[in-house]
Amino acid sequence: MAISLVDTRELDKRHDFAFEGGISSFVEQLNENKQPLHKPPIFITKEVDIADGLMVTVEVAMQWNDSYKEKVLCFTNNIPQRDGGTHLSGLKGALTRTVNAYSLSEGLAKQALAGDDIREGLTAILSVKMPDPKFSSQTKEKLVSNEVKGIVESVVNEHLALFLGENPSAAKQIVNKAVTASRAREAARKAREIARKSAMSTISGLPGKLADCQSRDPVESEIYIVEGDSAGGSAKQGRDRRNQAILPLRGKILNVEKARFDKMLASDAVTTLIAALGCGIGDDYFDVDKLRYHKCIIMTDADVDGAHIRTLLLTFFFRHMPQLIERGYLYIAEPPLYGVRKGRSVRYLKDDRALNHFLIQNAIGAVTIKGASHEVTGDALGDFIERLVSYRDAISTTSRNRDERLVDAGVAVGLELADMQSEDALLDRMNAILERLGERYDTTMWVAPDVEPDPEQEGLWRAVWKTRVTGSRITSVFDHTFLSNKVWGTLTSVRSEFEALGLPVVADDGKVGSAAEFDDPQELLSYILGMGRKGQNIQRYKGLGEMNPEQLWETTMDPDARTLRQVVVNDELEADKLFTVLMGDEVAPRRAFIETNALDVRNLDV
Amino acid sequence: MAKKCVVCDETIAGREENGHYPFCSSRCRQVDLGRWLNEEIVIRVSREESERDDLPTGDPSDR
Repeated sequence: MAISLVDTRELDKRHDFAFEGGISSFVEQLNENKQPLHKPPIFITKEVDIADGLMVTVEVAMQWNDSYKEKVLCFTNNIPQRDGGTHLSGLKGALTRTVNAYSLSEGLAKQALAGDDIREGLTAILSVKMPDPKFSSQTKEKLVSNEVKGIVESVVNEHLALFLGENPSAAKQIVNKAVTASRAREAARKAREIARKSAMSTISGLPGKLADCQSRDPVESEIYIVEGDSAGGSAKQGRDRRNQAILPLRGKILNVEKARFDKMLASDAVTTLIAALGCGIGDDYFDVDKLRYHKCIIMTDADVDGAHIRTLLLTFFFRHMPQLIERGYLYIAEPPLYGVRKGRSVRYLKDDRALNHFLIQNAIGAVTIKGASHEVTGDALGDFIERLVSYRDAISTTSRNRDERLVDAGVAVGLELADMQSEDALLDRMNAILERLGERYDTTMWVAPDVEPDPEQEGLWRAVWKTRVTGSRITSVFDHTFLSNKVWGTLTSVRSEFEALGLPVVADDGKVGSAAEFDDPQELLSYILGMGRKGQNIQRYKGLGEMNPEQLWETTMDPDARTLRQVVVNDELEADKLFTVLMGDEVAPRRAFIETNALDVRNLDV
Repeated sequence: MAKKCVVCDETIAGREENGHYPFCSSRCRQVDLGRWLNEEIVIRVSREESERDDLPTGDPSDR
């Protein structure tokens, strides 16, 4: 078909409208801004002899795209039918039958797919040419000629089956799209069901695992979402049943490969959670005003496993109940990581930082630190030890992509930016590092690094070390970039404070024979922390289950003593990570994410 | 940075203008919910990672 508009008043003013490929190119044009699942459109054309030379011509062009809209245009003898009719019924019937037959025979879908789901994202043009068509009205908006349905159906069945058989990758995409659509519909149905159940749950039908509280006032009610059954049991015994509900949830593990496994929330854990909260789910059935608890508190172990469950729960809340977060109803409990027993009293410490601080405070009273030229006393002693802690923290930051023993030795021998300017200076420094390493780690064979031109900084040199740390190979680069880094700055400034005392530095707790000499900040710190430990029994809680109900109450659930961290979306970027990183196949970026997430939530203290 | 729908990767408006946030549509929200209910939202863990106790743990004095 071609239409030309020519303006005869002026020469050369002419517009051509043409569909060179007929209805196929029309379909392509309709899909222009969408991502098609296959190229080119499926094109079917057939003339059928219905009786004594009475011919019906069926022409169909169709192409699925990645959108969710179905667009099928129907024509009879070039006249459009807005309301479809028998030709459209024939097409729909054929699509449902043929796609299902294919997907079942190929094992692509477990159940039959509904026609609506199969047609999601379909753009099609269906054109029938026939003698004496019958329409439902003068405006010809619906075709009612009965015989057309069967004709269209059999023509499309035959050709579509052929197409699917010959184009397995396109066929797979089309079926997968329908499976996804059917899943969405199924999820909507489940959501309706859960919403209906939980609306009734104030009376009965609350999930069996939930130990509900007595109060019915959401404002004062709290729900602890607890990882693991044993911790759930302790929490049930330890809680204030007046206003604290407990919901134990467990993560589920599925082995996918030898080297890795998948961790997830069990389907019934998700439904139980939704039912217990009472606010429903989904666009149509979610009502934050029906939430039964205005404090929803995630309580997990302080280990990798607990972090995974917490990440999953946070992700679920971010995606499906963001209003809970916006209104400030979501919290993370902070069970202590350490219990320090001295005589009868127990002191709980929430993390390594708190423990360090505690040990340092203990040690300050007992230890004296004296360099060859200076003694550190009074307030300066506490500050000095904190500086040693910052040195160690900086070293462990570098251990992510460098061998920390090399970094520490580099700092000790005074490696500096100026050394990068000449090969000889850098080689000298590396030899000094080698010598120091040989003294300190005499069972390791140390191999000299490569000193080479820095590919990023013209005229500068860099050293590249290849070593092994606990069995794995690691490449440590010492270059202009690393030595300009803030972390390196921290290390060198602490080191110079340390050296300013005059080496060796002597630490002494006043008892005979306990004085020790140090020329290294980290070793001195270990000694001081060791002093701080004396006379106390320090227990590290590996999980919530290691605490008895009273301890759990005292440390984590008693409103007068506990710390809760409120979850807020204050950094959209972090939230984005939460949305997208979870499903990734690569372990490394996700681990980094879980670590930063842990940090990030820490910043949300209220 | 433009945000994208978790399900279909389409660019989406921020939470203020978009009732479906962080999705583009009711339909994508449903697809994601279906994934949770079908246990398809997972954290992939390598055995090596799970055996290492590397979150904020570890005795601070012998790290």
